[in-house]
Amino acid sequence: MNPFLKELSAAPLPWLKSNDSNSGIVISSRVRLARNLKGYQFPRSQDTDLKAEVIDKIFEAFEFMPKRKDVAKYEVENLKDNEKKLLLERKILTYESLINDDCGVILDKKENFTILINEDDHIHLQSIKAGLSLSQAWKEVEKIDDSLNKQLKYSFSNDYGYLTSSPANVGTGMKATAYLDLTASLISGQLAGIKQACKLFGHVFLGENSDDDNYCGSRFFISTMKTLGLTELAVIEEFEDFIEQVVESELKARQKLIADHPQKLLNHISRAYGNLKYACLLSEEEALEMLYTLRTGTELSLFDNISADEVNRLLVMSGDAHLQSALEAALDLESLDVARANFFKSSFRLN
Amino acid sequence: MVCDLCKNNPAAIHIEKHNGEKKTQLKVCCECAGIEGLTPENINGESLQKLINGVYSLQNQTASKCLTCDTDSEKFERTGKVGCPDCYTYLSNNIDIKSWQKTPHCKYIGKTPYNYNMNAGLIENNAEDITELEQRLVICISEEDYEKAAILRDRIEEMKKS
Repeated sequence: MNPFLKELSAAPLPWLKSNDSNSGIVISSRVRLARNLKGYQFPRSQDTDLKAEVIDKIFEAFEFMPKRKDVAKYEVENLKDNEKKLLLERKILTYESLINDDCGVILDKKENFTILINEDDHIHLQSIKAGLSLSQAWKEVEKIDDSLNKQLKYSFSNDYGYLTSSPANVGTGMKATAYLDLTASLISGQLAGIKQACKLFGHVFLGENSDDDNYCGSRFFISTMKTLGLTELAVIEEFEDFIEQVVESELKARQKLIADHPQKLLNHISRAYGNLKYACLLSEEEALEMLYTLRTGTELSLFDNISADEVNRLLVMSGDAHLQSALEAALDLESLDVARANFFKSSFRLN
Repeated sequence: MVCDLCKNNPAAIHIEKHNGEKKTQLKVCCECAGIEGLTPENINGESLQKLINGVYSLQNQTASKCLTCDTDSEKFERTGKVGCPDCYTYLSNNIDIKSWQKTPHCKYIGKTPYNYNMNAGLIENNAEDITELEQRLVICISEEDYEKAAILRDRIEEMKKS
């Protein structure tokens, strides 16, 4: 693994921190901007040579950005498999960028922002922050967007704003997303109400690892859709208010659940803890699911011996690529599951 | 003369429609005429009109294609993605922004790009840009950052040419 990525694999995830302000219900906030270069067709209708030219142009533009020494630039196809997986686990790459050829990625050391090149659009600039910090994430991407725009000319029209490959993004090209832990709403069957509210306000509600109505986890994404008719800041402010209301409803659901059925939530969380502590084989997906459940427990102060920070650290380490990088070994799938289980065993025994 | 429909067989039937000053012409082969329902038994005004309407709507459909990247309405319907910025002009009849955005308020009021004026468009000031780049080149050379200097040199040359 190259030194920059090796260093990254040992660092905590900047968007995964415990924060008191909303009891860990909003895990992270993300703002993404879609931009396309003037004079080029969108990546889907470009051939390999032109895509490479776009990557070169954007990489070159970064040579003139402030603090360029802290920035790494990669062509995705030149990365090794475990390096790609590492960036996937840190939510820098997307699954689509692994399938499409000729993608590029730019990231800074502190992971304040990342740029994905040639996915659906030439530039997908994103910033992920811990907790409910949509305004900070917006400020971050706006700053990078402004200085990048001094080097590169964007495709823009007076009527539609920034032109993108999907008419759903045309306009500001901005999409804001909140990543939420809605355990209590899920257990007490109140998701339908939240879903309804999202529909009413024109937001998208999506479960992680789930299709429409079969939620197999308790984490959800809510995203904005409006890119026309409102300014970026107005969308962010309106969305932040909306998310605050979702947080409030989840808090109420948690209080009610603890008051009415104290064993129900405790049982759910203790089972996850037991599995993590005693299992001999743990898949990545399973481990993530249980760790997030445990995280809910620590946010509710159900455990004296485990801190939220410790769970956040384990969450980063449970990914295949992170684990292999820490162990400095290339393992097959079964050995990985064993190594992961052992890792948790030793971590929890210490507590 | 080839058939307007299959663009292959020689045309056997020549239809002309006069509407005041306006004249529309259609040339078809026997095979295509049969497929379109025009047979010796039912040649009448109605079947001719139907054929002409059908052909012209077909031609209009094929016309909704982006001349820059060849993305057509069918491809757009299938993928939900357009191919290039010009598609928004050529395929404007097919892209229903209001339904994509799920809102009737579709006026753009977001940020504008650097050096962009909503009335005048992108302000290109080539001479000023070159002077600025040349100043940066001098700084890069004095800092011994030759990698960056090479990029600047190429860019200045390119701009001088254009």
